Amino acid sequence: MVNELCLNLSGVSFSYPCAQKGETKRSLLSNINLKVSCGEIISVCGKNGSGKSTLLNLVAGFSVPTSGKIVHLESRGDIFAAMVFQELGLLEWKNAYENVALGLLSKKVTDKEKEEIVLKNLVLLGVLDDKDKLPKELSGGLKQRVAIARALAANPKVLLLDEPFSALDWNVKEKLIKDLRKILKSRNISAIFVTHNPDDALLFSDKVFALTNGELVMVSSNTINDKTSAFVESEAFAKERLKVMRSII
Amino acid sequence: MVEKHLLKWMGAVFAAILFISIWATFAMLFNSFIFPGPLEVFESLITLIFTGEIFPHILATLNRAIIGFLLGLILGSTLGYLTGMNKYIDAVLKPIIELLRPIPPIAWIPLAILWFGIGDASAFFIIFLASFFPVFTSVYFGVTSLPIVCERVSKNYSLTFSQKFVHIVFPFSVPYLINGCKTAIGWAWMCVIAAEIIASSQGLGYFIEINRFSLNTSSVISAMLIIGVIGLILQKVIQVIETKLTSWRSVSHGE
Repeated sequence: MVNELCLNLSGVSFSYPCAQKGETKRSLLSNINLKVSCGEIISVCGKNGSGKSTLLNLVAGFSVPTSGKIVHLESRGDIFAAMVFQELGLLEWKNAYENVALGLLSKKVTDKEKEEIVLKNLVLLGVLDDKDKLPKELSGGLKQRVAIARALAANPKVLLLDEPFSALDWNVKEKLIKDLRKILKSRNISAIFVTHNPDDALLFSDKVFALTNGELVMVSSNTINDKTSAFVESEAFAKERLKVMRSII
Repeated sequence: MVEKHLLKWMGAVFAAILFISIWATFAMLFNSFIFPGPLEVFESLITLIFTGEIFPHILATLNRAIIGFLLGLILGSTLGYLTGMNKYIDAVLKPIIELLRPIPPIAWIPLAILWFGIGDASAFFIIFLASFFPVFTSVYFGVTSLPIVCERVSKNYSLTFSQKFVHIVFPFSVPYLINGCKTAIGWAWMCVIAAEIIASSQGLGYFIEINRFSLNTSSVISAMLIIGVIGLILQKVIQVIETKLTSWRSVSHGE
């Protein structure tokens, strides 16, 4: 299935502004070109400080590129890209339901529609039973699910994931990654997932890119839609993992 | 839990007995006009309460303290939020407020008398100043401490200024606001007495001053005890409000 283009980054560069007069700018991203189709899930792997989060911040509009263009080619709602932050950003004074409803505040929906959307996303992420709990009362895995439900409730065209699974143990993470992949594919939502973990990247995405020395290079592409446990244990997976690891060292 | 409460009460009773014993010992060393003993003060306190003589003064002082505090709270928090949330207002207002903040509220009393005369208006002005700065500073600090991720959540979901304020900034800053209120009410209560001693014709400060002139030291100390108890009650009231408004901070952690 050939999907239409949803996001296009062409020649995007980003440098940190000078802290002091006379100091040279520190270039973090240089000439990034990336095309993301609708419903496509891509991962960006890289070491700490390689610019992965900066790339997401540029797509989300939190920062402005030094040069180049970021074009959002389709926007079906008010929000083009919803971000799941590494720190999650759940509001401690709101329960899970209210946190998810925050994603709908700027949308023109009735209270009944809002309730339906929030409950649907809580069900999808398996956190309906915890809807009245405050973030402090939730485990790490449940918090991640609430944060993802909030982003999905906003019905974005692109979901941006900034290492949201890094604090989870493998069993919880594997299930969450598989569940989320299924949801994104069924709703035709694109995703950009940044991580330093090649296993997470290969399990979650259709294409894996490596970000090294400010440049983005595709290192792995696979067409396997159903990423079963057999795939994770296969030789092909091990080979791809090695490829990704080599590219980010 | 019961043991903890028992220990707290026993500690308080012991402290009270120790305090009264030291007081009684010192009182024996001086003339009762200069340093009356606990029994004399207690008698004076009972008389003041049963004759009702003290109540108009308590009401006048409370009235001034609460109105002045509320004025300081309203203006201090409003400007604190505006300054913390808007860089242009911050650039203009912050230097002015930083310049005025270190001036003790009591230093304004001569000017207050000059501008408003002896009476309620001067006291309101002094108490307003005493409350304004702690509230402003706490709120400003709270708003500017908002984590960057909360700012980004607000931006990511395209929240309007009012939505951001209602759902993110205000709830986050409530603990800071309450802290500011605790300091402000303490200052307001201290300053109202000082203002009344100098520039008033009714109130606990005025009551202390006229009884000092007539060498009625027992009444002076009785009024001081009443001031202490009311100050404690005001702090407790703010603590109760704090518990209600920030209950989310005390929930237990998940696994």
